[in-house]
Amino acid sequence: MAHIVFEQVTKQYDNGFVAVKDLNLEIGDDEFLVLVGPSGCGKTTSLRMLAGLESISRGSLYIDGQRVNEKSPRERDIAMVFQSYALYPHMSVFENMAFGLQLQGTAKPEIQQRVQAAAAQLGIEELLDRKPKQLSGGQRQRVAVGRAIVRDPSAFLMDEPLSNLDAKLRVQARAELTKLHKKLGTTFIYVTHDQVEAMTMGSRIAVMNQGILQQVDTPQNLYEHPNNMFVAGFMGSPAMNFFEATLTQTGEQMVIDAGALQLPVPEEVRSRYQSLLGTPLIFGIRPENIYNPEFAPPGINPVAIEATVSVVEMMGHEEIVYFALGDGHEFLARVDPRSRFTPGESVSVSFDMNRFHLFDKASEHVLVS
Amino acid sequence: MQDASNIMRLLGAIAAIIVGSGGIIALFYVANLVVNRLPPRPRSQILPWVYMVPALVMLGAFLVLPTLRTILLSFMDRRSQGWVGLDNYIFAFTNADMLIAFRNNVLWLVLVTGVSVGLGLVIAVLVDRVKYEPLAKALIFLPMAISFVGASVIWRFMYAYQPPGTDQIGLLNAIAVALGYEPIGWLVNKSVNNFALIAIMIWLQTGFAMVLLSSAVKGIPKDVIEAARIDGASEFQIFWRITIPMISSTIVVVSTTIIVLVLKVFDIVFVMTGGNLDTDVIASRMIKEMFNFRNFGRGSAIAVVLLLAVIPVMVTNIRRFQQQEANR
Repeated sequence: MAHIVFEQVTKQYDNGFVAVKDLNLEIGDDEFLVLVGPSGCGKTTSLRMLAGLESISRGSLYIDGQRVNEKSPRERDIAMVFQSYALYPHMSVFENMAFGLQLQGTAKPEIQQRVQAAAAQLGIEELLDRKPKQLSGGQRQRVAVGRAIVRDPSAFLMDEPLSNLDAKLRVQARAELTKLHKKLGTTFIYVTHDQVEAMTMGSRIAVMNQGILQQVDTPQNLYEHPNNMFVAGFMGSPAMNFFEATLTQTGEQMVIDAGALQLPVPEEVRSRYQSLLGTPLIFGIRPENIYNPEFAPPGINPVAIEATVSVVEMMGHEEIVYFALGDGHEFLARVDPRSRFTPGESVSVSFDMNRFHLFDKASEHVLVS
Repeated sequence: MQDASNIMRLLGAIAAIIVGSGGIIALFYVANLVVNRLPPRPRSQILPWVYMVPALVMLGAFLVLPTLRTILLSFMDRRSQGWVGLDNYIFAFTNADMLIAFRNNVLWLVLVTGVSVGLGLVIAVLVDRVKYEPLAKALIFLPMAISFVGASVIWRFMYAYQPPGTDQIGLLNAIAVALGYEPIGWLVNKSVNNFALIAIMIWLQTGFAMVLLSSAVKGIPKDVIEAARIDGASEFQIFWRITIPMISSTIVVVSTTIIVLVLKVFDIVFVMTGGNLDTDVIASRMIKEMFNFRNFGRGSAIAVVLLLAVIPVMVTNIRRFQQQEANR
């Protein structure tokens, strides 16, 4: 259990490159926090600063109220699982797991007992005598996790631990890590570039881009109320559709005008947009909020849009369809697989105007969502 | 006239090179042509041999035959005229000078191998964290490029001795005198002269060990070192428990290579002391028996002893190498 606080933490390399800028982040006891972002966004650097593998250029880092900037990794009571697993190749699985305990000076019988217990928990008891080389990728990943949990640290740091697994194993390992977190009730800080991992595992998600923390929130809130265009575009796959737009008012009607898209704003919320009239905006809508009218569920606020189908990707449980508008703009929709759209066909699709986002074009910050 | 004969000699050399290498090319060309005429089945079996046989013949002529003949000579008398049984070997293992040579060789083996591998390892790990790593490595590696004889000449100056009271031109004695000590006869004092010679070899071989070990150290994934650091290992513990075990196969290869080299050493001894004052090693004894005393029997017997000493080292080395290949 650890309470971790990043306070204005900055990492600047000798060549002047700023990898992390003024990071403020508070991670509570037994939280599962996922740091997510594209490669080079500073998420791994942040984790490594927390681990003590990277020095902190400016700002303070606190673990349980204690400033740890100058503390070595061994003084921080943390464990880390690396992307490459970083198992010691010359040691057996048992020795790999026991290494940290040996260094702490734990008594032999206790080491034996704790390693056995951790191995049993992860189902790797029969592998204890093997060398890492003799293990499959999934087994190595478990050993790496085992090496972390056997030490019973106050926080687990994980740096893309699942990215070397094949798709099927990854789904399984995701669920196992979530279960493990529940069972241990310890702070997990998990770095990934995969927003699906972030959404499925995190109790909270911190989205980073270009060294700057964009937003921290629960997966649900992050998805439904992104702070800015980056978060909106990063979370969710396929990504949100964006259109440059302005808000116009003709008589009673208020319309989001995005060239070929003319989208009337629902009456109930019109008052909230009054101040935005005339400002350059970005209109955003997620692919799943665009429907084939035939299969649209009740309760949406449909606006019919004419578009030409350009590409159809049949996924089985859904169809991902690329549409082109009259003015050349493209957008993507996830529609019911029964739609059977064919490329070249002109169709009418429904935009659910209950579920859209408006961003300021200049700052890319959300205005209403 | 002198010029003309020189030019003739030069032309002769060039002709020899052309005819020699041309002859080899022609040999392979013709052999290839002939084999290609054969039907495919025997061809694929014969073709590798066509390329290997010339090399095998050369090795046989210049390596295997001389070895066999040396073994033969080792059982014969000084002029290789009569059989003497094991006499030469008995001499090799009982003669007082030979025993000193054996003792010295053991000293050489232990100290040169131990110190240069140890130092090389420490430097390899330290240099990994130095800003001017290439420069530091180049400086330490530099002696490798110097021949044993060249190195010996350099060190003769280092060890040079002048009687007390006169100016010391040797660096070590100059330092000794400056610190208020008597100058030391590095090469004549029997308690230090062997170590003085061994130091030269260490100076030569540390760079070699360092370069190979350094590349092995760099081959250790950074993640593994960091994992150990997070597991709570100190830098010292990382060195002993992670670095050394992970590069152990390179350590063995470097050590065995140096062992073989040390077993063969004679130039340093030859140039520095001529093997006098109890500094002989086995190889320098061999040269002495063979060429100074013209005793072919004894010289050959010592050569065979050296050969036998090298074999287990070579076997270890080859085994290691095969293991490494198998682990790839």
